[in-house]
Amino acid sequence: MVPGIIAVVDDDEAIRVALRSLLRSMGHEVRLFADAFSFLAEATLRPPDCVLTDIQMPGMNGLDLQREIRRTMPGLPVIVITAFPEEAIRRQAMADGALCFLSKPFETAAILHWLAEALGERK
Amino acid sequence: MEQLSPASTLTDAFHGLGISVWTEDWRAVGQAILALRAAGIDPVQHLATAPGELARLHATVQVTDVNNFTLELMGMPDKRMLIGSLAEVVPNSAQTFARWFAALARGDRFYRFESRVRRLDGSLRDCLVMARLPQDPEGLARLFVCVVDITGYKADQMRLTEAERAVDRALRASAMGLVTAAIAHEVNNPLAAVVTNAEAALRWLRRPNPDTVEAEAAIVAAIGDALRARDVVDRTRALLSNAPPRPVALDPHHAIRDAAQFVQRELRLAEATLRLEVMADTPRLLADPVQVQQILTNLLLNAAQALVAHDGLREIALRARPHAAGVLIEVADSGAGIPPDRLLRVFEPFYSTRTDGIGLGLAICRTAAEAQGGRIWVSGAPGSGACFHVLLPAAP
Repeated sequence: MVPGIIAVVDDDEAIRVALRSLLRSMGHEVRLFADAFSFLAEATLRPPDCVLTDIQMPGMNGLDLQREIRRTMPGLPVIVITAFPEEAIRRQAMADGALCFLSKPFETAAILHWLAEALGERK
Repeated sequence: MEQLSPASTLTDAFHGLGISVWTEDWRAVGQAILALRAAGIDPVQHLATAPGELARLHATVQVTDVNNFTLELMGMPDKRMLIGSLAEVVPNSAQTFARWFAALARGDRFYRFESRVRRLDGSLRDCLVMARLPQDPEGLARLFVCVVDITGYKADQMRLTEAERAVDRALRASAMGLVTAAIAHEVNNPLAAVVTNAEAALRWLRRPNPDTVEAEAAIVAAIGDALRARDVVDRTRALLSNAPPRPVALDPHHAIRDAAQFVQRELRLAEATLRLEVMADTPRLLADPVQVQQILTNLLLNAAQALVAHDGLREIALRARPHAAGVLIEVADSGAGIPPDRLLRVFEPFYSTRTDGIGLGLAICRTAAEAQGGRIWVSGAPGSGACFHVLLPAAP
């Protein structure tokens, strides 16, 4: 897989730390954000190649973030990861153009598969 | 129309009311009490150590008359079956005689107790037995005893209690739906972190040039995440269990010391000092030990959290002291305090001011405190720290 720049948006620090280690072990560059606003502030200047975002976050939630990305950075692939998988939320995320919708705890193979897809799309 | 005299109306009522009335002669018992007192002997203590004496006195009580409804209550065809020695006509009365004796010996004005009355056919009725106890020995020659059949009422009460329990369970169950969703969220996050860290560690190790520093960091993180998941489960276990609280007498010293031990790690992280204080004469608590731990550790964790980013004194006081309604336990911190508009809301489920909280800790505390027959409230203005008060019943 071609290494890329992956942004992780999750209010849970343990998840951010774990994803950073996993994604770096695959050779990716990782940028961590505890909330949607700090991600948007930076991504408009230095867009990543793919975003992994949580749904339940204080301030702006993952679904709103996804819509904002669709509006301002239409080509950016979004992988949604939630600890609280609800069918209605999944449908909403997919309708808004999420690449995929994963539940925590997620399997690494799934992340790998969708990242490959996302970074392949980039070409 | 025939004019009824008040006396005959009362006589009619005596027989016609659905209440059983007995007239009994308790003079011999009254005399025995007087004689024991005159000899400087406590009648109740004396009888407690002399069961033969109790049976002898019981046999002296005479039933002199009963009203018509009594026959109906007892299922007996003839009044004569109920006249005579109380011990003979109502053998069952032996069970309650000590209670009667104690009431008379204490000089009680009334006897009011529930009893089970055995009918002639052997069936049992729940009854409320009442009598006004005369203070003079002569009055005991004609003691009026009134017996009301409350079997149906008792059964209704039982059904009502059962129904209330069912409603309570249903309410808890629907609250549990929300709670389990929140817990799933709380547990799935650290679980995801465990899996991801472990996968990352494998990948760092399986590189052509294994990076043990990165792998070690990921494994250490995974351990921390797993412990966090365990803590969430620990802290919600008492709430999830359907078991009713099992109250036992708890030493307040032990209760607060155990809670303090549970949060040592969090106190170190917050660099907070904890002061324990049990005031003299603090009685033992009557509460479920697991739920008391649940309440106190939750409050201590909250206090520690309030101090993490606090500039200035970082001190928590855990105090127990006597209170008119039981034992008052207080958890006070030297943090920023709680704004007045939030004081009432902090116990609501899913109300959290922390981004890392699910807002259930204090809701769990309230549920647990109320399950013990206690209550919980908070005081403290911004700047003076918050103080949580938990009032729990005292052991008798």
